[in-house]
Amino acid sequence: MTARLRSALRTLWRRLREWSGDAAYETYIARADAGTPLSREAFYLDGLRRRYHSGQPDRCC
Amino acid sequence: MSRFLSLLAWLAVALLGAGALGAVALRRGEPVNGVFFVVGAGCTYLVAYRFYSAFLAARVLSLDATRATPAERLDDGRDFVPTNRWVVLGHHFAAIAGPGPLVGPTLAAQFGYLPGTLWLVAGAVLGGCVQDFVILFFSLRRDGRSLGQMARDEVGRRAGFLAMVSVLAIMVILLAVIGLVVVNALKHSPWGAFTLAMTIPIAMVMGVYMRYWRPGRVLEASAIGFVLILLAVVAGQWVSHSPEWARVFTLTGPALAVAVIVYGFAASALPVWLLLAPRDYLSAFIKVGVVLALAAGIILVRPTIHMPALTRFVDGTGPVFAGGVFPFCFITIACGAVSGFHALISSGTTPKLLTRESDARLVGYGSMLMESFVGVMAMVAACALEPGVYFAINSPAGIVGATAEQAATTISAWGFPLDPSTMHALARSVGEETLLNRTGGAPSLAVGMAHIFSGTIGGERLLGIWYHFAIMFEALFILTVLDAGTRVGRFMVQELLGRVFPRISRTGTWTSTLVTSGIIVGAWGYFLYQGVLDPLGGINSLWPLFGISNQILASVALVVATTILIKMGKMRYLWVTLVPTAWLVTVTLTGSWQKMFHEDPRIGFLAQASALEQQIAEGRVPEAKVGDTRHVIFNNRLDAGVTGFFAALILALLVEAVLEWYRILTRRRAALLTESPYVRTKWAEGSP
Repeated sequence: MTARLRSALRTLWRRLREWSGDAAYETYIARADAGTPLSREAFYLDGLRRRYHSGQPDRCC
Repeated sequence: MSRFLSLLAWLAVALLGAGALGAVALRRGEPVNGVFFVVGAGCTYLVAYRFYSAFLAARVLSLDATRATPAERLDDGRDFVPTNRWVVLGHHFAAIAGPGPLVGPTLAAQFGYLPGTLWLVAGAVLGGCVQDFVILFFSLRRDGRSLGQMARDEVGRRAGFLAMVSVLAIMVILLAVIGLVVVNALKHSPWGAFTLAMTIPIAMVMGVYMRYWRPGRVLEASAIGFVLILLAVVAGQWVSHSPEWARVFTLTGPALAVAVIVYGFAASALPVWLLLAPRDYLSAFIKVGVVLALAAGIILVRPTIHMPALTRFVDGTGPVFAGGVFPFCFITIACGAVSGFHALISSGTTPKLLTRESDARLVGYGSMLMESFVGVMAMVAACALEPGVYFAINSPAGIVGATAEQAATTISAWGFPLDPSTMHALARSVGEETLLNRTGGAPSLAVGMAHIFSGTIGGERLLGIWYHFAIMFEALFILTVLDAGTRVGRFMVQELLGRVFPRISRTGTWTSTLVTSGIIVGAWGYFLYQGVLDPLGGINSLWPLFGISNQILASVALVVATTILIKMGKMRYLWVTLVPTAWLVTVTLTGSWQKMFHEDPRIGFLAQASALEQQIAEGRVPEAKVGDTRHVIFNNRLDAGVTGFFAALILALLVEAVLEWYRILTRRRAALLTESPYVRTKWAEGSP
């Protein structure tokens, strides 16, 4: 029972990190092609640029 | 056997929902409890999701679980990322849920709780959810293309241009009206103004934290920001009690409007990491948290609904905004039932994250159900207030008077008893000087929410803290929409002007940034400022304009969806998008016509302009006020022109689309779809 609860909490935490964007860099590193991946800071700024410079609304009324 | 039990269980859910909605609709003379609204809506959503969305997925759209999504095919770890469907649901819901489903139902409560509640539930299930789902699916099949691109590719080049212009025009009205909601909530409120002002440095601290100290650590920064915001809410009480500081933060409507305009310009021009992004993260957390807390609060407190099912104002003479229940209830509710803006989100980030096509059902249809539920909760919070209090807060001084005594006399004469001392006591208990004439919906919603929250934690003692927490919550994410919307509007202006002046389309240059930010902020700032000066409170003219524009964008999305369904050969199921399209076009065109040409000056812009002109001609306007009155006359004519422009947009798009449908159906044009080619998913045989 405790193990199941712990597993559920771990899953919840992982999903919360995915939802909030906290885990975005780890996801990127896990998928990055061979070569030099972006640093954490550069990745964060690149993500903001992609999100807010797309000209597409991402927040609604 | 299990199928039979499942059928029985669903029958029980359906009967429970029908019983609860029946109690809401039919009970007369005795108060209804808010729990009936929650149960009735919740059961309807469950049944609609289980059966109608399954029908849409299987029969109408033919979702294919073996087909690879753009997130799988184009996976780059940045824009295209296969993501857990519950995480995408959270993303999508945080993106679509804005101030609309909170403010719209609060304003529509003037008709009584029944029309708005029924439309929130039925409109979402048959219209809003369908729109979000089909547009998400069609974008998913087109590598995440935007609504404008799909309109151009599937309907025609002119349709794409019309869609883009309508989005820009809607953005201007949207930003103006939500700015007005913030101004009306914070004017003469040092506590509220201080708390909201503090969110700016708090967001900047978070921005610096995530940019330099701990790059990308969103959860840490948001936790810090949330604690600081709570401290700011508590500190606001001290500010309101301090004569010196209270004077600094006590601002008039026009002063606040200028502050919001300057803020919008700065937020659009500043680097996103400093202000916009951290505020966005913080607002998403608080938004989801407060929505969950409100749902729990309604269940725990079980508030009694004091507003009648129908009020006398269904005839169009309402003080909150003028206009009959048809079409203005539907236009006012807007986002809580059907929102055109969602089509932009459904064809934006979301399709690039879905792991499987079948996830589109949960994310597209399911998240709109959640938004509708937010609207129902807002309706409960507003209708749990005594009707006299509700009307005193939401009616402009021009109608009910500027003092508690005048308001009590007027509102009591309408059949909603109100004692002046009630308004004084209520204002004192929430730490405000007055709650009279706070048009815009936000303050009355905050009072309703504060009563529900304080009924759960803290009691009357914490009413002031809860009220200002609710105001901060509403204003925080309104300003987030304002920031993000101004920036998107700026890019659109750059793209449009770039066709004539190529240099302006260079997004990186300061000149281009400042000029285009100035244009977009100037446009919505103008409407905001005229709304603040409007003697009828501004909301009376701007909210219907916003509702009309929003519903027109929904019509655009549904027209595009209908065109694609025709090309897919799904003629049997065209009613799925055609019926909501026909309803929305009828509602918006009727509303547009009435806002332009209705003979009642409180409804028709042109009638109001004529009435004011006549007052000037007859010398009934004092000499000192003639200049201001001429401004109001000009603004009314401008609003009529904007309304006509919106109506012309949808008519032009309809003509374009119907011609395209005719060409396809008579085989004069091949029914070519622009879907990406089929690729089998690597996850077809099992879970990833």
